[in-house]
Amino acid sequence: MRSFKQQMQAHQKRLLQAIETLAALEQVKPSPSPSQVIMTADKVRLIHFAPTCQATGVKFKAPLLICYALVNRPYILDLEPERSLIADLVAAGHSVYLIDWGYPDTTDQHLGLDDYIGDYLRSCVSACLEHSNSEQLDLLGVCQGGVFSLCYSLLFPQQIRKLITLVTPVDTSVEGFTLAQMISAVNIETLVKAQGNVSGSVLNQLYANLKPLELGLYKQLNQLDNLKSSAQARTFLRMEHWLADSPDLTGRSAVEFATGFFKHNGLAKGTLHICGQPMDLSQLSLPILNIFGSKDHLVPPASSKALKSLAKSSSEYQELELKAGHIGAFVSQTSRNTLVSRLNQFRSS
Amino acid sequence: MNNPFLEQFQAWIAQSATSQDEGFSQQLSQMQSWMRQMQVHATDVAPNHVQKLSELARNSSEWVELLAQLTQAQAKGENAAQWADKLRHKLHQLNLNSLMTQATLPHQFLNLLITQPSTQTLATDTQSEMLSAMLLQLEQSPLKLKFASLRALLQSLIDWRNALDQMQSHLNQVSETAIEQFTLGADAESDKEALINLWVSCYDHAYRQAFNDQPMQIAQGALVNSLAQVQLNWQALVDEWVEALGVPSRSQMNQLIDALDQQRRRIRGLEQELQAIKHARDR
Repeated sequence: MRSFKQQMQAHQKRLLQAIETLAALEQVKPSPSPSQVIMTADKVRLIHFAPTCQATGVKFKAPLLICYALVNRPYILDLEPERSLIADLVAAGHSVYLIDWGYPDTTDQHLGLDDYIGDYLRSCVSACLEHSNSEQLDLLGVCQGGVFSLCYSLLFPQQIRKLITLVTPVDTSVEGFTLAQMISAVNIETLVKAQGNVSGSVLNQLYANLKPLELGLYKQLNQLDNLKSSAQARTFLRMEHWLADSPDLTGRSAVEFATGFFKHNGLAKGTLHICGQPMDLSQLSLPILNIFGSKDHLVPPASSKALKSLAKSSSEYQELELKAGHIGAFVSQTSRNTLVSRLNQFRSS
Repeated sequence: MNNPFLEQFQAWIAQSATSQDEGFSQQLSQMQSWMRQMQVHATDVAPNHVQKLSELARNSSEWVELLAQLTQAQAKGENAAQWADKLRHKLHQLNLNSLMTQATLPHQFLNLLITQPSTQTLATDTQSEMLSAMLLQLEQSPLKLKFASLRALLQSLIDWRNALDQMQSHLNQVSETAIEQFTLGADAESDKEALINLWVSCYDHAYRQAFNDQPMQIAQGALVNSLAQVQLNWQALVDEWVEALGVPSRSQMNQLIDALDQQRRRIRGLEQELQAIKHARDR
């Protein structure tokens, strides 16, 4: 091993490089694609990204509505031009709509899953269909947004042409689902009673605790390697900004999701009820493309893959396994290329 | 770069690179001083990224501290078992720090429960005994009923302390398992980066494995639940005080929020009816 002095010198060199980069760097913010807000409902906004592909006119028969999770912010899908799933999709000719759930505050603490799925998501679907002059749309749900999308497709199947689930948990009883294990003995009702909403910072701590060293101390130590150049630093700082930009989870939705979905494994068992109806995945008949990451530590692949056996009535079930983690599945260049290519294929028929 | 402080720092690094090995301990100490100064001058050095620069300086300071300890250990001729023991102690401290920084206690209690600002030690046994003694006195008091909220709060603090001890015990076991695995897999000839990667992998794996078992899940649950109970009991006490002062309490605010929620649902329902009427008319 190198001597301690050599290690110190190497560290100093890296540190100085990082400091010089930060000293010269402007304020860094997300750099989103051009868009238009076409609907607002309370704190929820529906954003449209028009296709930029001019080559062969309309390629895809239906608009694509993306339903992101309530936790974290959806602009991770459009962080910067070089790392934007949405930019890739519109360049390929997709007309993309994105739901922005906003930042819940204390007055929103009574909003539950029925409100998010049966009201806001429904309003977004209606607005999307009206704006695009379409009878049906393709729905892409990301993570918890995928759970919402599965539920919505059961409630209003006539509006959904095809369904895509991306890094979506389905079966919470699979081995190694650390997130589910961590909250298994937590009394969510008491937590919500004490705090109102579940704060974004508590959620961030929960996710970081899934890999305490890699996402904690190790990440701190390796920050210097992400600040070698301005370009690298911009990407890193945008990502850091997004990680810290975590909205609160409304109290009621936190209780319902943690209990009904996670603890009772409600979606897999068909015991989860939304808008008074049981969510029975065996009733899903529409085409499904299920995408997951083989290195996803947040949602184990087995949890996502469980959809295959549960959605047995699907007219066309496909899977795509990406060699990526939870966020990497739609942020890394390689994954995005594969993802967009497969979406082009799936949506073009 | 034009910043004078940064230029001085760069000059010092260049100079220390050519210095003799014998002055290394002094260099480590000087580096610590530079990192303290970096945090003071952060606004001048990187005005658009003050927080990030301060964070880098703090991390660097901790890294240098670790290097200083390793240097001292090497100078004393300590063997691998002694190094592992130091690592064990450091990890136990890190576990405690991690638990304490995540605890969203009402700030009034932090001074009561932490003996040093850097959370080097948790509440001592003396303080725990003091809490228990206070609780016993209140329970034996003729005004026991009047002090119901305060008693509930004290009990929940004691419960939280017990839950913290339990969780720390589990995390310390995770550290032990990780050290065992690391010792089996480490190769003295390996590159420093490879060793760090191995350590991170061993620890995170041991941590996740621990959650496969119920005791860890229960300990985690108990920690979060007891903390929530402390917050609830504190709020109940504060509610009593603010009501006595004629200030709207949290429970009264919750009633307002409930009423607001009902009004909003009514408005959403009306909006949707209106939308449906418009659609029907347009067709």
